[in-house]
Amino acid sequence: MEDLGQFVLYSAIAIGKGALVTIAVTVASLLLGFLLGVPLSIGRTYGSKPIKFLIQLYEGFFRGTPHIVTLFIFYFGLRHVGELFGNPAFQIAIPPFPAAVLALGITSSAYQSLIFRSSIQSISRDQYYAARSLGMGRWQAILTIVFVQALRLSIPGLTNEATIVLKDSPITYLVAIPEMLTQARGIIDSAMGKVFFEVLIPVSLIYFGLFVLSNKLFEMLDEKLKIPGFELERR
Amino acid sequence: MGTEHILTVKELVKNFGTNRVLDKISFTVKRGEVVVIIGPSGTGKSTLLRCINSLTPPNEGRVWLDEREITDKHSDINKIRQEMGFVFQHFALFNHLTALGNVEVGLYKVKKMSREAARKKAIEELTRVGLQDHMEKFPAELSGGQQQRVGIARSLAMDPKIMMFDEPTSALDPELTGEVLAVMKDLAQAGMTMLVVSHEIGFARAVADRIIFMEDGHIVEDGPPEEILRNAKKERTREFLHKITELYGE
Repeated sequence: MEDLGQFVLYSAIAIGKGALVTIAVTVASLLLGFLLGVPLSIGRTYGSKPIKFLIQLYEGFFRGTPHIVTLFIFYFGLRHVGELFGNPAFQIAIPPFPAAVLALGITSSAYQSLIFRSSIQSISRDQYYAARSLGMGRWQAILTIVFVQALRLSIPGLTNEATIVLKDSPITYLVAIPEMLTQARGIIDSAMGKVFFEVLIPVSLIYFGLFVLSNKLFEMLDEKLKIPGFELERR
Repeated sequence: MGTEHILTVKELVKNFGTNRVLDKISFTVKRGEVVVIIGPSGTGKSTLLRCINSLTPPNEGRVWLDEREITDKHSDINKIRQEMGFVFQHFALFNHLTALGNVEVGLYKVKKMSREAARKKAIEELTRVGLQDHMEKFPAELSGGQQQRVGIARSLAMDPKIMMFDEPTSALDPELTGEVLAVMKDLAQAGMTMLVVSHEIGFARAVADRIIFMEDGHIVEDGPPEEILRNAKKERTREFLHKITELYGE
């Protein structure tokens, strides 16, 4: 009985640590996706033709490729990049955590760019012109008038994107990130197959709890930034 | 170019694809003058206004505000635009800002005034257009007429040398039209130079110093209201005036 108690405690701690890593991977990836997605969406909307084309290519590539492939490119692929140029000694070795965040974050940036772009396009063009007519420069008008409103309109899309990244985070198990699924797998292996659902069901519930929490946080943000009649006012 | 002319437009051309919307338009506006531009829709009136402050860059021609050439690539267009108020047909208020926010944003973001000074000036301008009781409201909480008055106050706050109005009342019902026109009349009486695209013949008759009739990218007639409204030289002008007087009344 004492052994079982210890096993449960040890497992709970491991899963708890895993949950924190899951949160860290998700939040870091979303943040990276945001930091890249914002300029991408602006470039895609206001950029010159070649810039628009390059961003379209980027978005297409990362939305069109399975996340696992992207992850493997960042983690394994870059280690072997020297071989492409006949110089096997040259490698870019990215540790698992940054590689995972890069893969999920860059993928997310492609999706976030689309979310922001559709919001930008729903802000009337005349508001941009009105800002310019007051003497604002191009970037000032885009950022202080159009983009702040677009961000506000993007909250529902971002809510969805956050849950998608959360649920994609277990693929980082494949590069040995000690996130929740990795921990669960370790526990199942160490019990030599005697436990299975006892581990996976709590893990699913924690994922579900994180999903509810993230939705709640975005809902609070949405409420906090509410502007009367804003959603109705589209031209 | 004497200093008497505040705005000079010379042979302005704008093409949209193969369609020539403005065909060598030339005219001047004197300091303190109120000029109303009328004409059938699709004849380039709105495009003309937007080309004057280069919101839509013209293909050819030159425009001066006082002595400064707006169409000169080397002039600081953002600086000159501050001095040319622009009022939009659909108000184009910033929907994430209150009435006060709409008016003060240009003051602290563009004119780099302190937040307190900007607020003080914005309150003055909103009071001037009769909105002192609605300053904390967002655009969606205001009527169309109130929104347009915020639009006017937003431009006025920048202390422009000329105010341009692009069909400022055509998105409003007749009741709300009156309150916007009243503000514009006050402005004209205060000596503001105004260039107004509008179908409001009553306003033109009462306030305008000159009426310009435009058709197909050309200025067809240009003269004092009594001359244009009573005995237009061209048959086409008379026909158009007859139609809009029927629609909008005297």
